[in-house]
Amino acid sequence: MNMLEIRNLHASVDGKDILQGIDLAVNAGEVHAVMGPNGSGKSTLAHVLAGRDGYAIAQGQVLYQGKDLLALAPEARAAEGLFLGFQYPVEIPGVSSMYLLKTALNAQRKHRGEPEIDAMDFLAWVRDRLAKVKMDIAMLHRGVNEGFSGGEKKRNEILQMLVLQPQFIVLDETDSGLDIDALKIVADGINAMRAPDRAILLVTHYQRLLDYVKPDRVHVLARGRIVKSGGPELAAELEEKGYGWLEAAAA
Amino acid sequence: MSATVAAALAALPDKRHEDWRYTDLAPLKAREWVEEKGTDTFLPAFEGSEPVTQVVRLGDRADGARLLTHRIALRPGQQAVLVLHEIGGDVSCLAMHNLELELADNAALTLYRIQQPGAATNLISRLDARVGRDARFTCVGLYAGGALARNDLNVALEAPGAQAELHGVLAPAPGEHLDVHTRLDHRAPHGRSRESFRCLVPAKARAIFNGKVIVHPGAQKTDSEQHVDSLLLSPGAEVNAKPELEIYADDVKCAHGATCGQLDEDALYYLRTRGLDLPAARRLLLRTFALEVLDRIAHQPARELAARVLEQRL
Repeated sequence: MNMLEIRNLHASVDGKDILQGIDLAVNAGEVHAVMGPNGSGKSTLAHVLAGRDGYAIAQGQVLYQGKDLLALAPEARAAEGLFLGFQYPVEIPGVSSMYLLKTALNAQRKHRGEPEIDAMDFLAWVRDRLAKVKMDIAMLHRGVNEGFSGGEKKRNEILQMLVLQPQFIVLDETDSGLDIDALKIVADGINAMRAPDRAILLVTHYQRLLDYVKPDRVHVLARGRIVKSGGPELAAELEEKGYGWLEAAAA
Repeated sequence: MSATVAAALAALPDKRHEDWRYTDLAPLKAREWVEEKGTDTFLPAFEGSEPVTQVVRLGDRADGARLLTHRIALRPGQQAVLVLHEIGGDVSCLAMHNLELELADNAALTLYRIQQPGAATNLISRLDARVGRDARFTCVGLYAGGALARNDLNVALEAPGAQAELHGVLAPAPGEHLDVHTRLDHRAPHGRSRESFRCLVPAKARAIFNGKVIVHPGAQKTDSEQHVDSLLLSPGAEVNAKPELEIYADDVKCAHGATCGQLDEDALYYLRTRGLDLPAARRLLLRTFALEVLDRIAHQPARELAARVLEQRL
């Protein structure tokens, strides 16, 4: 069954067309990778799915578990199980990561009509997941991403994903700028989330992540359109040939 | 009409005076007030190290006006912590509150001030502190509005090594007018002062912060810093923030700065993608902004009281 279905999606920012007719369907249980050169619309696609303000949707629709995703506020999408891992995670000085995790988890539970999580259960839950991303609990008592290195910020995104247990995961270049050890931690986190009732959309600039997270489908985005889709072998082909030939084909 | 309140009110300058240009007292001066019994008292003697809490009622009856004076004098070496909770009612009234503080050599006074006048209370409040040799005066305040509220905090560092810290959060409600003027006089060498103020200003509210630091001739080795940061929460919010520095000595270290902005849209979006709704995300960011100042309140009951009063403003 389609968990996410994007139909002929057109989006623009300040009158500039970025997405020019995206069609994409992701089934539960699958991992899809969206690759493409700078400026192809990868991040725009991720943020349109998460609900950032400022995009005009001229045409098309997005169905998420049968619902009209674009009609929901960002927080409602989160509570319905959608998670975006940011390419550039935001620093929020003064708000501790621990507080954010607990507030976010309880806000989502409330939306779903579930009671607040018990404080001890929460702590045990977080500790278990911290170990998976090799982070120290002391980092959670600091401001969200405050003074974190690039790699620490990305691991913190993965930690949030592991704690919140979303159903549909969009990771926007979570692999960019990571050394190999951090990349493996991020990949392990992603693989831990693979499940028959979940789906994952990896937005990535580099093929390297896909050595560690095997995608079911690979899509190439160029000039706001998906110009080619294929199996994992497409990623290897891109690594070898670059994007030039596909961009030329899209023009 | 009372002689005392009328006289005190009449003695205050009008808008033509630079320090009063944003706060017009003419409507208050034109009103008929019913004189209420005021106070002129020394606050408790502060024996022992336990913080003392003093509640000050600013007004309870419509058109009432009261003149309140509190004095505190610390002996040499004495240390004290005072929590001052200034509360107004919900009737239109006027309070003039004078706080006279004297810190003898090496004394330390920490004042935690939670000012909660109420939407109809007019408040004109003045603090004068004289800080002696090596004495330390600290004032952390939450100024939660008032129909019209004006606070003057005047601190004189009169002898070598005197120190002062003034910190505060200005949180008027929509429609309120809140004015805080600080004046720090460094009159002797080796003085140290720190000021940090934050303003949260909603629609149709007006906040004024004017912080003046004067380093007088001979006040060498003065070390002074002042910052004011403001968040405008809505179109139609207004803040007038002015740090002012006058230096008449040549071997000093002084810094000041002011910022003014809106809530960070990226932070709001990030929080929403994690499941917080927009009002909750805004409250979280505002609370954090204010608590970075109010967390300086080291006495837990006072810190919790300030947090509760703040919460009503978010």
